[in-house]
Amino acid sequence: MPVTENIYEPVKAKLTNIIDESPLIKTLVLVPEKEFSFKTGEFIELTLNGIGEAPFTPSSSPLVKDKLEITVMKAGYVTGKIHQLNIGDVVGIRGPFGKGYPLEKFYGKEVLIVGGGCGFAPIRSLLYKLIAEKEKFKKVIFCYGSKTPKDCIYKTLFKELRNIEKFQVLRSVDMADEPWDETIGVVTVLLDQIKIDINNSLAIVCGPPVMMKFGTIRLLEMGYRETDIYLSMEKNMSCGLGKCGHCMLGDYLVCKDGPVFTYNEIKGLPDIWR
Amino acid sequence: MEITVESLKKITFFKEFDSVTIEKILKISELQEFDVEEKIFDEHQKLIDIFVLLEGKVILGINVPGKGKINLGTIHPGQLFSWSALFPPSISTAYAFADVPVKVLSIKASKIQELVGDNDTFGYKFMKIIGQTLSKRLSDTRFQLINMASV
Repeated sequence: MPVTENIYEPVKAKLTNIIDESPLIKTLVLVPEKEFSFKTGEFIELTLNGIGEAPFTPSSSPLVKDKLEITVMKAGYVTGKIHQLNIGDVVGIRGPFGKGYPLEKFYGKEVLIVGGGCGFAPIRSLLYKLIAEKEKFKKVIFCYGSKTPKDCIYKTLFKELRNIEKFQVLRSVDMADEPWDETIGVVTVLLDQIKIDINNSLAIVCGPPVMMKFGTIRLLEMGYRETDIYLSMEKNMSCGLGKCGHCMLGDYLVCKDGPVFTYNEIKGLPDIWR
Repeated sequence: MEITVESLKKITFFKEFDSVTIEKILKISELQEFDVEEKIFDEHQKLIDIFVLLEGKVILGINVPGKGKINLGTIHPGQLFSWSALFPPSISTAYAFADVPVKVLSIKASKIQELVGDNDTFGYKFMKIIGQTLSKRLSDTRFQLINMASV
């Protein structure tokens, strides 16, 4: 539910910290003027006055209401300008929008999360929620891949996750151009190393389209049902409300009906991996 | 470390085989150990053994002109590597070294080819495993290639 009555009106938020995650990725810590709640998987629109807007799924805990963290990969005009922001600057945020992860469906199950690159941003928010409710899940396995060790984000979080009961974390890099003591290879190779009860498990995939495609194919080969694979289809979102139609995916509007879909819901639609 | 039929049954690679078959493979195999960073084989080297990793971690990589050695893959226990030994001209497509102290079961490729020729059932199962390994390796390599091309 958006925090302002006017869905187009942003709430002002002050940038209080900037964390360099990788050469192309920064996390912005924002303190909104008003309390800002979201469910994990929902997204917001970040507004830069006179520049434009872009959608992001918060990477911070949905349990924290007085600040919000947004992780941004420099990929175009607006994200380039976001990377030029300084501590103390004021931005706008609209939202939250869309539908997040249906966590109640995960209760009592083994949760497998497959993430890549900047796809870790929404996953981090989800992980915070899973940690907070860890007694409700049988176990959580997180497989994360990045191109190189330098591209791996939230590096300190991995150590924390590995100390949490019920959590298993595996990491890979496509190419080890510096010392790396974990797996080398694409993120799907990590799936060979896990032990999971597929019949009592749900999988979540979030990352670049190429990773989403190959990850989903591998999960299907492993025996996952199409209804048990959740994909975070964060693309083509523009107005955030499903009104501009830019986010159309078959009969769905990603901003309104997503960004989280099961593979079963979208599998036949054209260009889902584009 | 004693290698027995029972201990091999726990290894992923051997799961499809019965005890008699594993016994036959064991007879043409030997346990080899490699220290940290010790070379197992080089890129473009003639291979005579296939390896099943029993303990440790093996890194695969290639020499890229202008960039030097680039590590591109990890082999975990239970996985097969050095499959090129089975197919002429039996030349390695990558280098391999031990990332930590490693124990491998090395199987003579020529001997396994004889077993495959002598026993159709074993031959089919064995080649199915090799086919699945290569198919997966190819799929992962495509994924990796696309990822790297998008850097």
